[in-house]
Amino acid sequence: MQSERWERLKEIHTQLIKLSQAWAGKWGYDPDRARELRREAILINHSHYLSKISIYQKLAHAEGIGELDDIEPIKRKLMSTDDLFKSYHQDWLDRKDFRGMNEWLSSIFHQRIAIDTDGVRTIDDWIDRLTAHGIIPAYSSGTTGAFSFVPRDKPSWYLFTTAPVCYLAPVLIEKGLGTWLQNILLKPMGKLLSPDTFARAVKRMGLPDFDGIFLNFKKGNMGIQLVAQEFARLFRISTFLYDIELSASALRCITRGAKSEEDQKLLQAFQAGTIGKKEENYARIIRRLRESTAEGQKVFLFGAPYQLKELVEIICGSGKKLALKPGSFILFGGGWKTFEGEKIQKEALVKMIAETFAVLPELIMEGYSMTEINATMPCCDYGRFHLPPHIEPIILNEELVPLQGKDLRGAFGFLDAFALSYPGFIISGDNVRLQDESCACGVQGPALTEVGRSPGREIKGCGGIMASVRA
Amino acid sequence: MKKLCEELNLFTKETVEVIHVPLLVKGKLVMPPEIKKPEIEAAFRNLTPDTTYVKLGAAQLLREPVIDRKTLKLTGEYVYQVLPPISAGELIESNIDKLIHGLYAMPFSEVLKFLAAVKEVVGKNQDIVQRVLEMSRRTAQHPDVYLDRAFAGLPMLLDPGLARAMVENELSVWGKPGSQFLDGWVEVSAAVFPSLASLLSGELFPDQSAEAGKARIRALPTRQLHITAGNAPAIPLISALRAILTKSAAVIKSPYGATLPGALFALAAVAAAPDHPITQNLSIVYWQGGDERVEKVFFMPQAFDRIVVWGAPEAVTSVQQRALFTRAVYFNPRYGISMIGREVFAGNLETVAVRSATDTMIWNQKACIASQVHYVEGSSEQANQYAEALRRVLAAWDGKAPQFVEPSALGRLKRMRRGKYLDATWLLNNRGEDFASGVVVMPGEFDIMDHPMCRLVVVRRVDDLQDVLKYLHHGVSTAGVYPEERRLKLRDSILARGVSNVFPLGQCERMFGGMPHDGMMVLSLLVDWKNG
Repeated sequence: MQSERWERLKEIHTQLIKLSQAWAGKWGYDPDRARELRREAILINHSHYLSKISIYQKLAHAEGIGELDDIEPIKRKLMSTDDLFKSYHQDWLDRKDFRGMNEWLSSIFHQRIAIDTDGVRTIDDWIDRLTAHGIIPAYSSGTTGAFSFVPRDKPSWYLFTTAPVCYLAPVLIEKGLGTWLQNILLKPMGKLLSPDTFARAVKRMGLPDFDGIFLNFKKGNMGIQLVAQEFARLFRISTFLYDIELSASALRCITRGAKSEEDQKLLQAFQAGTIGKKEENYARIIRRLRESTAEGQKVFLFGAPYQLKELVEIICGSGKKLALKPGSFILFGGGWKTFEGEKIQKEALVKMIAETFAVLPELIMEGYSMTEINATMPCCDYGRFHLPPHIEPIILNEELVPLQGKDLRGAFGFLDAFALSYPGFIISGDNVRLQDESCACGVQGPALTEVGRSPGREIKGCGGIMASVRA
Repeated sequence: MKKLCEELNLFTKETVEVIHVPLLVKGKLVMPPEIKKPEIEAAFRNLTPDTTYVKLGAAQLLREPVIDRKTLKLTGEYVYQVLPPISAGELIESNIDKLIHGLYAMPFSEVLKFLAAVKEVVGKNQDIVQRVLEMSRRTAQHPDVYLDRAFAGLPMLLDPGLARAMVENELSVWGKPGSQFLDGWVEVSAAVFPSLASLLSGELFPDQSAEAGKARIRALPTRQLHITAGNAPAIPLISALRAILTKSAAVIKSPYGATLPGALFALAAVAAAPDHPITQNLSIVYWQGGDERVEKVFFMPQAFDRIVVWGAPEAVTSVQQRALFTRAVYFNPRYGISMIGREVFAGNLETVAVRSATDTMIWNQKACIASQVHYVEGSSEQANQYAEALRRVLAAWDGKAPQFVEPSALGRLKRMRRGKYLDATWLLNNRGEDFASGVVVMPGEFDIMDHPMCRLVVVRRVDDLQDVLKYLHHGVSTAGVYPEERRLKLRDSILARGVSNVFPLGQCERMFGGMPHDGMMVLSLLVDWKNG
């Protein structure tokens, strides 16, 4: 990117993060200013993608679109779908063709990836090799085992990790997670310090009277994993359900089957460390919960809904209660189905958690995010996932035409002002209700009030197919 | 037919917003209650826009979105249909003796007379047929020319010659024509093996044991339930025809989106032959798929002897799971392909593209034999050349048969183009800003679940047509192959992998009386072959 544009974009990002703090902290947020800055950043991103990201160039060329001074054409014609991030050929991974994967990743990244792949035998090796060269690919896994890879470089990674710290801090402080000193200092720090300095200060101060319990792996590049790893830095100690690294290769083998002896060994090791140690792992977690409570520590518990359900069932099954220290906090996110596909009702889960851990329901919070977005959206006490100011939400009808209005239902899309290294104009696989009106919680701007998956593929009469088939 | 329409106030106007649709219940036309539009609209008011069915008092209500035939866009309005409710118990025929002495005893020649009578009545009442056609057109998703030809083709389905060919061939065994077995017991020249028990009995009790008898076979009719699909308007009538030809006491479920053709046929049957055993034992009805109240009764053992299910996977799996003790015939969801050898690049490109497009355009790519994927043997450049030629041919089809594309299909296309398949080569024909038809050349494998089946052809390049074999399975119904020499060489390899039909390119909609369908001689499965 040209240096003046880059400097301008950095300046916009800084201002947007500051605005997001004001927005989350409810201290004098200016939504018009945020919109203006956000849209300017989006147009700079568009220009950047046009010159640097080949897949975006192809799409823009097909639509006859060049430089823009208005975001409407982007909304109508240049939003990719989240499938973009799994548009590689699955047999490249099957054949361990990581050079092919690099070529593909280059097409959705703003730089050519010409990293040597000698010795790269697994997806984990590939991720490590990329990371060592400053490209951090976060991934998520669908039920078919087709991974989405979202590549971020260091500046993007900074935004991905720093911005949420800045605007989630006021949310967590409001929930009572901070110390009395943090309560006092938050607002002036937020106003006076740059986002980078603020984030470093927050991380340094941390939440020392909390211990972190994460129903995740202690290391890994999966989206929800990365969130856990970032939070883990804040606490006195952090304990993970799986004391091993999450292996992307092993995860892929679970759904797609091991294709080689090497894969088989990887899968066995993974299963041994997870399913094979399930009771032991949960026992360790429960022990840690008790110990932290006995030591006078509050607990920050994080996991997916089905994992929390599992944990609660094990605790209740033992017949012994586990009341955490008052002020403990539970954060969950991810799909609402168990491994077996059983759907869990949110209200039922919150009740189970509140009763098992003697935690107030207002200290049990859901977060909404996805690997493709540089935002984490906490659910407020009134059931709304508020969108931070750097996200321009777009709701699309089934024809993928953007809708207008203050109360909309349809496919959730967004223009992400913080997406630098990959095309951040995305139509997700979620169907939502977006309401742009005042919320009783005091946070301004649009919020998602219902989140579900987009309708599955419809079978078209006789020509329809009953299951996924390669042709 | 005209008199019935007048008496029952049926199909009197072309442009109506509320159509009262009769059902046929064991030969009697049952009319729905009179319900006015405001009441119907109120019933749908607080429901989601994609709700198509509601019960209101003693009526079933359907709504279908209206399509502007010029712009081929949804207008936002609906046509409503009011249908009577059904009582599942009433539709089941449990008086077997009545069937034995009535319908089952009727000679096959009477079936042909029935069809001839119905055909004649339809022929003499083209004004009514036309009105039903125009009513259907308002909401029909098929292009106008397809709809027009479907209705014009109704007499062909009723043709006694076709009926005879189907029965004589599909029910033919022991070198005898099928109608003989339908008509009664047929002695066949079989060498009847003496049974072990009778041999031993003969040794024990000479002169007292039974003699070995003659071999006699009969194709006994059965009581049939046909759950049909709506992707092609002819399907409900083809299924009804099979039931009629096999002298079945039958219940035919019309699909959503195609209730009017069933109602028209019912009207014609009652007008032509109200007292005929076929009419008296025929029901053409509608219920919402999955209605437990109805299906629990229909799927009970002994309710029917045969259940025929077309299309939608939910219907297929529902019957598989719930009608455990009733023999079923499934027409599973399937798709067609085309295989084009490199010979096409020796100057035949345009002609071959015309033929492969013909196979794609079977019921506007909605039929289970329509070609969805074209495998082209050649280089990448050649595959692109083929794709471009095909695109031009599809553009001509767009002119001849402009199509309505569902908003969800348009959305799915956009998702494909802007996501998973962004690196494919998209060659599209547009009508204004909207998709009309097109071809996409995929650089790699493609998930058939992603196919929108809306006049989009997926082209896959292969080095050798043999490479296509690994993609063949029971889900592929039909392969059209060019050139003929390659088709003959590959034919058995293709068929052995589960494909039912291998035809010359361009001929995949081939039909003839007595033709196997999805690997089955269907009429033979609909009767019960008896020894007596």
